[in-house]
Amino acid sequence: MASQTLAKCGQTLRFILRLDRVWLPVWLVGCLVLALATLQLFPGFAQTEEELTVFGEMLKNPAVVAMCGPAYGDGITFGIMYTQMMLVWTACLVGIMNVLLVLRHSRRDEEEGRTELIRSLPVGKASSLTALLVVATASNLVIALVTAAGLTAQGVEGVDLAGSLVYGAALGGVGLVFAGLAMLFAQLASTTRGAMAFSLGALLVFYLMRAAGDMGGDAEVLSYLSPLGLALRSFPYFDNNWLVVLALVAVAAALVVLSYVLSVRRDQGAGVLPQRRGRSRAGRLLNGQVGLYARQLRWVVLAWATGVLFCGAGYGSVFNDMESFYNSNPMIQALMGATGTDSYSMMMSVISTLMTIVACIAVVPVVTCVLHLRAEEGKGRLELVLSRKQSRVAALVGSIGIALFVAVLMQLVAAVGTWAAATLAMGYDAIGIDVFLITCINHLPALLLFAGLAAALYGIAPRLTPLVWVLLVYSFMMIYLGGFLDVPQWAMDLAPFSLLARYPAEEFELVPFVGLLLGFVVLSAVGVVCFRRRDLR
Amino acid sequence: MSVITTKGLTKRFGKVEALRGIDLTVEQGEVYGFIGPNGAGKSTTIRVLLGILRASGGTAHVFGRDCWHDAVGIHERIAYVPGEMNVWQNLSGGEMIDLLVRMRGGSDRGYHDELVERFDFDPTKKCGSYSKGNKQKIALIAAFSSDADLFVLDEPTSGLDPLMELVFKDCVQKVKAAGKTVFLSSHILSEVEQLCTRISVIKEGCIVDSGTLQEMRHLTRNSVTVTTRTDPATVLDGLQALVGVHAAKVLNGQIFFHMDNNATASVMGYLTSQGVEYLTSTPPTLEELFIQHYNQ
Ligand SMILES: Nc1ncnc2c1ncn2[C@@H]1O[C@H](COP(=O)(O)OP(=O)(O)O)[C@@H](O)[C@H]1O
Ligand SMILES: [Mg+2]
Repeated sequence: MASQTLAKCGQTLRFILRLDRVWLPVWLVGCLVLALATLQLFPGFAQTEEELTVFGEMLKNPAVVAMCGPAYGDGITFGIMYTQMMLVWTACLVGIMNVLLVLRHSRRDEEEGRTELIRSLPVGKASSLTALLVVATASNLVIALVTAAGLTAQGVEGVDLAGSLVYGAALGGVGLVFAGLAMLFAQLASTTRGAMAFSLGALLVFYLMRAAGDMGGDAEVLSYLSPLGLALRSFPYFDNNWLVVLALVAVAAALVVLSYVLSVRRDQGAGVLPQRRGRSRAGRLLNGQVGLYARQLRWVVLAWATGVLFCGAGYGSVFNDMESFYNSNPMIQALMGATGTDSYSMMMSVISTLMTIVACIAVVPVVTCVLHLRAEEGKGRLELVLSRKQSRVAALVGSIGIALFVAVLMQLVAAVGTWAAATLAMGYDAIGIDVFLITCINHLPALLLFAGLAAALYGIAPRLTPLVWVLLVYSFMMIYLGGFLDVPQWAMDLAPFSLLARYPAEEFELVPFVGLLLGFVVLSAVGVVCFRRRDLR
Repeated sequence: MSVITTKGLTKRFGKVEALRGIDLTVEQGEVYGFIGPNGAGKSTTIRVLLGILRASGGTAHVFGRDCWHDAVGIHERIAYVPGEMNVWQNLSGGEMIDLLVRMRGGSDRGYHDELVERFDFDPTKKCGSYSKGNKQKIALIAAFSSDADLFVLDEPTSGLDPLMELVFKDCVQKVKAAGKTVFLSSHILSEVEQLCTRISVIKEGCIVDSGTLQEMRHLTRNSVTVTTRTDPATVLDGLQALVGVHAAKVLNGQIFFHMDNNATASVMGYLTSQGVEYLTSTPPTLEELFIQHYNQ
C-alpha cells in the first residue's frame, strides 16, 4: 500500500530538480546572500566599545523594534545586532521562496493539467507531494547549514558557531513552516492565485503580528503565534534557544500531515473550499482593457493598500514612544544634540526615513500594475485583447495610468494611516497631516519612476523587467543601511528616493521632484514606442 | 477586391524560418481552408495577418490595408478564434464572452443567447475550471455572435466533441450564407473538405498546393479495403480499369486501393456486382497525403 501511494516518487523528485535546475539555485543563492552578505559591514557601524553601546541603545528604539524585532541580551554584541536587524527580513525572503517553490509544483501543476498527466502514469497518489516535501526540506536544510557555516566563517567578533547554528536553524525552520503552509493552501484553494494570496497574506499577517507583539506588554503572545516572531525568540548568540527551532519544525510537520490528509481525500483539480458561481453576463464596467485590468488587479491593490496602511500605522504608533525614548535617554540626547538635533527635528528625520521605507513598499503594487501586461502576454491573453479593436498604445498607457492611480492611492493611504496612528498614540495632533501628506507626495515621482522604468523595459524586451526589482531592492538597502554605512553619494543617488529632498527633515525641493516626473514621462514614452515595434510573444 | 492578400510573406524567429514565402489570395465571400500538419506555420501566418507578429519580409494586407500598421482598424471587422484559448481564470465564461465581444465593438444579443444554448455552454462557471473544449466554445460564441466581415479561425474544433463540431459547421455555413469571408486553418482534412471552397496546403512554411476543391480532388481520396466472393485477382483487374481508382493491390486475399470521392458510385456499383463481403473506407490522414503527394 505504502509502496503504491509512493510509486515513482524518486522519478518525480528528479523531475522537479530538473525543472528547477536554474530556478532553485538562483533562489537559494539570493536567500543566502541576504543571510550572509551584510555581516561584514557591522563591525564598521561601531568601532569603539562606546559606539557599540550607543548602537545598542538605538536598537531599543520602538521604531526599530516594530520594524525588525526585539532587542535582547545582557549587553550588545555584533551577533545580537545582526540578528535583530537581519533575521526577520531574511526569514521573510526564505518564506517567500518556500511558498513559490511549493505552489509551482502543486497547485499550479494541477491547475495547468500537468498533475493529471502525471497521475495517469504509474505514479503514486502521494508521490508528487512527497517529492516536493523532500525538495523543500533539503532546500531549507541547505539554507540552515550554509548560513551557520557562512556566518561563523566570517570571523566577526561575537558571532560564534553555537549562535550561528541557531540562527541558520531558525531560518530553515521558518522556511519549513511556510512550505507547510503553502502545501495546505494548495489543497484548500482551487486556483494558484488563491493559494498564493492566502500564503503571502499569511506572511504579511505574521509580520504585523510580531511587530505588535515585539512592542512588549500583553500583546507579546502575538509574537509567539507568528513563526517570524517565534524565530526571533531563538535569541541567537545569547540564549541559543533550540526549543524554538523544534517548535517551528513541529508546526511545519503538523501542516504537512494536514496537507497529506486533505490531498488524498479531495478530487484531482478541485480545492477543499468550494468554487463560487460567476455571473452569466458581464457587468457594465467590464468593457475594455482598463476595465479588465482594473478588475484583475483590484484585489492585489487592495491587499497592498491594506499592507501600506498597517505599515504606516505601525510606524505612526511608535512616535509617542520615540519622543519619550529621546527624553529619557541622555546618551541619545548627547549623540543627537552634538549635531544640533532636538527632539522635534529627530522626529522629522525619523518621519522622512520611515515614510521612504513605506514608499518603497508602495512601489511593489505600482510596478505590478505595469508588469501585469507582461504576465498577460506570457499567458497568451494579450493576444486575445490585441486581436480586437484594441491598440498596443492603449494597452501600455492604460496600465501606466492604473499604476499612476495606484501610486497616488498608496501614498494617500500611507499619509493618512501614519498621521492617524501618530495622533492617536500621542493623544493630540502633534504633527499636522500636512507634513505627512507633503512627505508622501514628495515621494510620488520616485514611485512613478519605477513604473516608467518597468514600462520601458517591458516595451524593449519583457525578459529585462526583473531589473526593476533589482533597483527596488538596491534602493531599499540604500535607505535601510545607507545611513549606517559610508556609501558614496553617487551610489546613494542611483536610488531614485535619494535624489529627492528628505522632507520634512529638509526643505521641499522642486527641481528633483520635476526631474523625476520628467524621467517617468520619458521612460513611459520609450516603453510605448518600443512596444509598438516588437512582436508579441 | 480580395479580403486577404499576402505576397512572399516570410517570418523568422531567430534562426528558425517559420514562414518562407507565403502567397495567399482570399476573395470576399469564400470559405478558405488553410491546412497543414502541426508546426507548418498556420498559426504564425494568422498572427502576422492580425499584426501580432511583424513579418520579416514580403507583404500582408487584409481589406487592402497593411496588417502591421493598420492592425487596430482591421480588427474592427475581424472575428478571431485563436489556436490555443487562454482564459482569465477569475472571470466567468459569460463575462469573458461579453468582454471579447465588447472589445471588438458591436454585438448581437439575440444571437448570443442562441449560441450559448446551441453550444450547450454553462456561462456561470469560472473560466479556470472549464475543459479545453469549453474554453474553445467561449472563443467560438464570441466570434459567431459578432457581425464581423472576416472570420479567422485557427484550428477552431480542437477539443470539441463531434456534436459540437456539427454546431460549429452549421455556424460557418450560416456566416457563409450571409456573404462573410472565412479563413479556416485546420489539420483535419474532412472538416476543410466539407466547408471550404478553396484550399491552400502549407508545409514547413511553404504553400505546397492550392486551388479549388475540384482541383484538389486528389487530396481527398479514401483508402478502401474490401473482400469479395469472386477471385480478388479478377476484381483487381476490373478495379484498375475504372476511372478514379489508384494504387490498387491484393494482400492476403484482401484488396486495398485509393478512390477519388467522385468515383464512389461507379466503384460501388462494380464491387456490388462482384459480391462484396466486407468493406471499409477511411479518409486519408493528412500525413498519408503528404507522404503520398509530396514525398515528404
Ligand atoms: N514565438 C516563436 N518563437 C520561436 N519559434 C516559433 C514561435 N512561434 C512559432 N514558432 C515556430 O514556427 C513554426 C510554425 O509554428 P506554428 O505557426 O505555430 O505552426 P502550426 O500552427 O501550423 O501548428 C514551428 O516550428 C514553431 O516552433
Ligand atoms: Mg497552430
